[in-house]
Amino acid sequence: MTAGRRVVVVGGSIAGWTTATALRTRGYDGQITVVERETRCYDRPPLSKTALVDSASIDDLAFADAADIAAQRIDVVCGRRVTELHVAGPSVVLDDGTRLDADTVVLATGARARQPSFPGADLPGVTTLRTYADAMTLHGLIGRRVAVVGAGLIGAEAAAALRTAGSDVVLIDPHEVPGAHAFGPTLAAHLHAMHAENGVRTHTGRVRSVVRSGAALRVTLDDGAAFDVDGVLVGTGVELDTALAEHAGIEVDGGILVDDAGRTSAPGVFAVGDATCRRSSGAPTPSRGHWDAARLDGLAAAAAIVGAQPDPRRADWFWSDRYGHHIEVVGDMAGAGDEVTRPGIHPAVFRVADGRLLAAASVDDPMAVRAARRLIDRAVPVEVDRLVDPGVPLRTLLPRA
Amino acid sequence: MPTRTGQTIKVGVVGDIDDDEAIVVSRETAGTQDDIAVVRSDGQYFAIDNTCTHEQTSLADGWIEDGCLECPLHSATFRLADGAVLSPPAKAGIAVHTIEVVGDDLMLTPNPDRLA
Repeated sequence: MTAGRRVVVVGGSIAGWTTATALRTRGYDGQITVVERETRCYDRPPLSKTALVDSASIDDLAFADAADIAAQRIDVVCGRRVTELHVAGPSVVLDDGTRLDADTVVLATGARARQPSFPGADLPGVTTLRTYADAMTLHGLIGRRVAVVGAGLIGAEAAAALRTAGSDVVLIDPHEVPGAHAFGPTLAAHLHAMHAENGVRTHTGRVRSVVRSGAALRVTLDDGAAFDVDGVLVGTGVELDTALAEHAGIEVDGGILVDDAGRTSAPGVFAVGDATCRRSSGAPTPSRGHWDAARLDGLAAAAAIVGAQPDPRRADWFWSDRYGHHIEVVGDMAGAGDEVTRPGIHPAVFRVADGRLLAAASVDDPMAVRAARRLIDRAVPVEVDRLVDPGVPLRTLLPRA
Repeated sequence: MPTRTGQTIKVGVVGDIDDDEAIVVSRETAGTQDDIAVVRSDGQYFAIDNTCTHEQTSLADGWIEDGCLECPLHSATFRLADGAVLSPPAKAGIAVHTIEVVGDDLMLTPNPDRLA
């Protein structure tokens, strides 16, 4: 190919879209092509929150409209899948046979919702939540009876959104306190209790089967409990989409293996977002699968592609919205360190080790986590006595510039 | 000082707003479509529409640092000087208004495009 340079991005969700736009911001002047299997490049966090309830249009969720996409000189190929990746070149082939040669290919293939394995999982009315179409299916269950299987982030948010919108919701999870991996045990218990407080029936157990029962679906658990519902949402995790990388002979081990800038084992091929696993130092670290982590991956890859130094990596951060409450987390609340709690209507919880903050989580106090994020990123020494004192604004723990 | 729509109004005095803090001027007072956040960062004053362009929330409650404001809900980041969006999930920038220090007074002139 004699034309100018080109980056092809496979996948137009937050990691891929950020890569494309950051390339332009960084001054990349070649061609940028984003291949997205769905009808738009769009933002997914609202799918389990506002979009589900409000039936937002996909154009509302799209990262950019046609004029903005044109202004950024990004070629977006929607409704097409990449079926082959050739590392020599590199190049990709689309499902209509089109071949796209590139200087750099960025894999932003993400993850799919894990399909449930219980009998009846394939019945109409049993769905997962990963796409806009899934969210619109769930929108149709507003005001009706819904079983939500899995009380992790997706299940908990969808249960809350449906309940708030008037659905009769039963929330089923095998753990007494779901969400401890995301929030730590203290806050997970506090958050899980919100479901019952808001009229969701919570049930500890596993689904044995789903069968059609007249107009309803009957969900039977391993303890014999049974619920007749109009729809079932299964939120039991994801499966990474690493097939293109694997078939191309790129190293995959718990995700597409990448360095801090997203470089895979194949020259000219980068990977960003949920499907990646970083091998910077020590054991490979899978992506946390959160929106901000995927976005930061895109920023880092774009910098590397143009030969610039990436910004220092910030601590992982995510939010969750439910029952009118806004939860934020920075760092790994299930990771190293000791958990300490700042009392309040909602506890703020911190993980500390050796006088340093490692992680923090708050409910309806986002500025606590914004301060914590900076305390972590700037490696500011902290005193536990002040962390847990509700009278001390966390921002005052940051040295002023 | 008249408070007629679109007029310059006094919204406070120097010392009312600490650095990296903000106050809210109601739309009724300003005669504008949205409330206005009057923000101080690095000793300078800025005025922007107070509602994030992503979801309904008060930007005055956000994180203010280095001439930027980070939305309290989802961390969309706006540059205070011109309202440009520097970080998603917001797609659109935020409208800015004119704020000037006259003597000790903070004088706000609403953006003509944002009048009620």
